[in-house]
Amino acid sequence: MGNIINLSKVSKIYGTAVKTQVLYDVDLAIKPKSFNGIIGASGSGKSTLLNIVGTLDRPTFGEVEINGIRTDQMKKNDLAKLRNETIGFIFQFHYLLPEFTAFENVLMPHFIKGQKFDKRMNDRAHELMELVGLSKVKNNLAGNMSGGQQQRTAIARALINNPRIILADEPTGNLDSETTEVIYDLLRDINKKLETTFVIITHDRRIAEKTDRIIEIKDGRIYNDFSRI
Amino acid sequence: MESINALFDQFTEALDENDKSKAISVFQKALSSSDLSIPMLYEHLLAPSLNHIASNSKDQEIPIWKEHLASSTVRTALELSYPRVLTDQQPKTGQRALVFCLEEEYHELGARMTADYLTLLGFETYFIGANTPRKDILEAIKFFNPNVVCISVTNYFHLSRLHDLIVKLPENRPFKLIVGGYAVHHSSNVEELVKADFYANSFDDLKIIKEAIL
Amino acid sequence: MKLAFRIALRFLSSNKGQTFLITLGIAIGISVQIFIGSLIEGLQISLLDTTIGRSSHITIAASEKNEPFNDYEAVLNQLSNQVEKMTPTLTGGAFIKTDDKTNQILLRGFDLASADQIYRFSEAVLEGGRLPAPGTNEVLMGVTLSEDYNIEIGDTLEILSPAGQLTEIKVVGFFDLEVAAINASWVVSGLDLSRTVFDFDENQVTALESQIEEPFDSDLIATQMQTDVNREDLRFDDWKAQNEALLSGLSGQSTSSLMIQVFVVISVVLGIASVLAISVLQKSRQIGILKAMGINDRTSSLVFLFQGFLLGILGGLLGILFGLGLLVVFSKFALNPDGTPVVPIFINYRFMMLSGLIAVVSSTFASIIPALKSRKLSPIEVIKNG
Repeated sequence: MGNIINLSKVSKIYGTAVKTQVLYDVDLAIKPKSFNGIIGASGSGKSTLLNIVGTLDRPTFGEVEINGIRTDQMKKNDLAKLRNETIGFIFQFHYLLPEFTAFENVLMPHFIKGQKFDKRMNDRAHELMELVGLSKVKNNLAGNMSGGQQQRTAIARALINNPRIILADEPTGNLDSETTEVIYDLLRDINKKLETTFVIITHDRRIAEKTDRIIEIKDGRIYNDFSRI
Repeated sequence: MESINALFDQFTEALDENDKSKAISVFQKALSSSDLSIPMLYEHLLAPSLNHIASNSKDQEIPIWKEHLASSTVRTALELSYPRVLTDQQPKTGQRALVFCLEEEYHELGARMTADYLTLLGFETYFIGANTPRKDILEAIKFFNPNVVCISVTNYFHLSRLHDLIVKLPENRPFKLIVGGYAVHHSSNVEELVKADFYANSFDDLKIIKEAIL
Repeated sequence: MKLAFRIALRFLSSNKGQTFLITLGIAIGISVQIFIGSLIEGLQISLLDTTIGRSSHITIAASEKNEPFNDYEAVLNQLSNQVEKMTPTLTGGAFIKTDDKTNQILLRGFDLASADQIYRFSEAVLEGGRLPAPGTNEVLMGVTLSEDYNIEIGDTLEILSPAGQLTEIKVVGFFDLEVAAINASWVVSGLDLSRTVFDFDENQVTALESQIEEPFDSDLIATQMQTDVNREDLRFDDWKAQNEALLSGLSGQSTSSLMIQVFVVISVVLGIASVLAISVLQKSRQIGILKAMGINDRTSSLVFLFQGFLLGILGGLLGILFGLGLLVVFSKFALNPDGTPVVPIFINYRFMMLSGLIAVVSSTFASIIPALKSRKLSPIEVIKNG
């Protein structure tokens, strides 16, 4: 089976006057349905790498392929569509829209997709909220929920369009250890049931040691890359 | 004498039943048999029984407390083995060996067995144990001035730490570095990324390494 | 499109205080614009009404001054389908003799039925009087004139034409046309009496006077009439040519009113633009999140255009209400001693609709810059800066 994510010789340089190179010739291939952890010190370039994989950022040099499609040259709006349909994001600061309820936040990627909101979607959204344990607070405004609830909302939102890839940047970064455990189990469960590919940045040893593959980024290069066999 | 396989079955059954005294009596029976060498007992009885219990090899259902209980039983078995290790020891080589696990690595039984193997092979062996901070590792190396340093890594997350430690060691170090453990042998890319002198997975591996060193 | 509208609506409704303030800003601007526009319009209409409300807009007379012209009925018939209000008049200076004095007056002979459409004598006749009956020697007299010479209704006087002919006339009423010069000099009679006094022929009049629907088109219509009638012996005078000073005054007033309105609208636009620009900054996190989730640039711009549009509708409606309120208050409280409003307020619904439309268009326009900003916003800036 081919790789769902394929980076070859990806470099990223920020700035024009003062140039800062963040990534150096990174080659990275991620297999479908795998559960991958990315670790590295802050400033190592791991978030930039994830953002490039997620097409939020463009590489300065090199090629990026998502789901078999070259993305480094794509137009902004095409990338937006690709993100909407193929990639779910879970960020450390859950990034919900505070003006909308948890339920509306979960459905937002679906609305953006521009398809009908029918009973099937309504059921799916309810199911996902059930899955992440948020049935009770789904009509709360996102701004009025606890950190754990917001993070779980963000996870349900990342799943709503059935993306093939979920990218998470410190998804449990500011949660207590018990919630972290719950969230992690949830992600792993989704990975198994829905065969979603996960790439997770984490500094949390308990999460990292349970992934199928650990990729360590150091000074903009892949420093370690171990997979279980 | 019963075969090692029969003993293994009895031992794991006792572990399954959380019956420590029964398990230990099975082990003592095995230990008293001169047919069964220490490496044999370790590699065909203790280690596989732990793997049998360990959650990461079989079904997920086994709770952590059960795993810990089994580990504790195996630890007792290892302690009981030490007099036999000393009895069976080969002529002393006059070389010193240092054995430990890295920081945050709590799975020390593999390292413990390795330490016993090195003792058997005639090394003056110092077992520091689990969860050793890097600073203390470097101090211990300085203090003991070993000929062989042996690191056991069970969880593959710690391969990264192993890599870090090896990078920090001086280029022309005055000792041979041996790494081993579950993670070393069940992960991809280890030999490419982690530059140790030897990779050992068994008593036989260590025997070969000893010959290579001496 | 629908999503953008929905997000815009939610952004506005979730920040009620700010939305209220911008709406109020637009509303006040628009209400001031409506108030000033309506005030100036009312002022101009009342001024115009005073000036040309009871006078001829286009006067057809003989090319030679003070001479009558022939075949007036042909002209009248020819133009009757172009101009609704048109009346023949036989006018000339004459003298009336009271006791021992002889005084100059202007005798205006009208076809009273059609002349009433222009001069509204029937409304201007003071109590006790009536319109002269055609074919008799009855006349109406300006109220000032009557007071000056102590003339009373029912008096019989003699009128002396410049040619020296004496004719007896009977005063049947006084009028007040609210113009001092007219009140002090006009004597109004039927055409026959005037013809007798001045000794003109049956088909002669001194002028045809008319009023048209759009007084400001008088010059164009006069030229048109001239072409249609095509008689060398006639001239066509329009009121605009004779009132240039007034006209330039009016147009100056219109211009300054327009300037004020334009600047009010500009300040409204700038206000909305700056508030919406700030709101893009406030909402940049949300826009970044939406973009990360795959919203396209067009939709993210539309969010802000819709916000401007909605604010424009809200502000426009509120502004029209405020404007009406101001006008009502002004017409109730700014009064002359006799209780009539200082400036009669003229409520022009089309003008108000236009103001509402201006509010919507200008605030949508004001949201173009924020919309472009939102378009340029990259999700990565938001994600990176947390």
